[in-house]
Amino acid sequence: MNDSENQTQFIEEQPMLQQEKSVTAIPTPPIDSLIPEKKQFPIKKVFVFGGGVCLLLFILVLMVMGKGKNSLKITEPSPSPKTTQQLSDFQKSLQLFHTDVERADPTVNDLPYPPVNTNLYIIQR
Amino acid sequence: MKKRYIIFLIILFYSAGFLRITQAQTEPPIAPPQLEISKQQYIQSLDVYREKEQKFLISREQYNQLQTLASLEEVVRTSKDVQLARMDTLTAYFNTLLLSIQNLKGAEITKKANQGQLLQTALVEIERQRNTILTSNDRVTLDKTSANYDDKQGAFSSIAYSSLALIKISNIQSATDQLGVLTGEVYTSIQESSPSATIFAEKQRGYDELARTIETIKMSTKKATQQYDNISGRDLFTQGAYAQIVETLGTGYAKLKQGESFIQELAQ
Repeated sequence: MNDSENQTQFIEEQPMLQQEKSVTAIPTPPIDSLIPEKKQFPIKKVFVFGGGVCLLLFILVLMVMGKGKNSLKITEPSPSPKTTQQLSDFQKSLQLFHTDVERADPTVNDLPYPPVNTNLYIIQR
Repeated sequence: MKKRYIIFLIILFYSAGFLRITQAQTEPPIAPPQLEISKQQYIQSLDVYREKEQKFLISREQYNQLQTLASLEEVVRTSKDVQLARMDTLTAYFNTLLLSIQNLKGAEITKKANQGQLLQTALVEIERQRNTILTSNDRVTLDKTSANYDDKQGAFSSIAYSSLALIKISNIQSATDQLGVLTGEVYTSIQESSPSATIFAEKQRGYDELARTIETIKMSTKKATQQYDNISGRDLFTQGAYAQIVETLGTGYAKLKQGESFIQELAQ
C-alpha cells in the first residue's frame, strides 16, 4: 500500500542506475524503396520443371510396378527343388484328404429332405 | 508452389493406385462350383415355399371362418401358389442331389448311374405335377393335385434318402482310397530316406497299424453298401433305413479320423 500511495512521484525523478540514452533521429528511407521490386513469376519454367518431375515419378512408379510383376516370374532356384516340390505336393494331398475326411462325416447331412407340408388341402382331410 | 507440387503428387499416386485397381479387376473371377450354386437355389426356393405356405395357412383359416366366395377365391390362389412353390423346392432339391451324385468320386459307376436315373425320374414326375397345378384353378382340382403329391411323397423321399446314403458311402470310400494312396507314398518315402533300424521298425509298426485301420474302414463301408443294396430297388428307402446306414458308417468314420492322425504322425 505504501508504494502505491503516490504513483506520480517517480515520473519526475531520474532513474539512478540507468544511463541516459541518447536519442538520435534515424533517417527514414522513402516508402517506395522499402517495397521489394516485383519479379515476374516464371510460370513456364515451373510448369516445365513440375511436369518433368511428375513424368519422372510416373515412370518410376510404373517401373516399380513392372519389377514387382517380373519378380514373381523370376524365382531363384532353391537348393533342393525336388524335395521342396515333393513336400508341398504331399502337404497339398494331406490338406485335400483332410477336407474329404471332414466331408465324409456320415452324421452331417447338409441336404435333408425338404421340410414341405403334406397337408396342403383347402378342405382339410 | 508447394501446393501445386502436392496436388501433382496426389494425382500421380492416385493414378498409380487406379492402375493397380484396374489390373486387379481384369483378372478373371473364380466361378463358384455348380453344386454350391444349386444348393443356394434350393435354400432360396425353400424360403419362398415357407412364405407361401404361411400365406396359404392364413387364407385357409380365414376361409374356414368366413365361408365367403372372396375368401374361397383367396385360398384357391394361395393354394396354387404354395403347391407350385413346393414343386419348385423339390425340383431344386433333386437337382442338387443329382449334381452331388454326378460329382461322386468313390461310387461304383453302375450305382451312380442307377441313382442318377431314379433322380431323373423324380424330376420328370415333379415337372408333370407342376404342369397339372399350373392348369388347376379351382378348389376341387387343387385339392386333387395336393393329393397327387401326397401319393408320390413316399417315393420322392425314398429316392432322396437312397441318394443321400449313396453319397455318404461314396464319400467314405473316396477318403479311404486317398488314405491308402497317402500311406503308400509315406511308406515309399520312409524306405527312400533309409532311416536307422530302430526308426524304421517304429515306422513299420505304424504302417501296419494304418493298414489294419484301412481294412476296418473298408469292412464298415462294405457292410453299409450291403445294407444299401438290400433296401434299394426292393423297398422304400425310408429315413430309418438311411439312419441305419449312417450308424454303420459311423464306425468306419471313427477309424478314418484315426487313420488321418496316423498318417500325419508317420509323415513326420
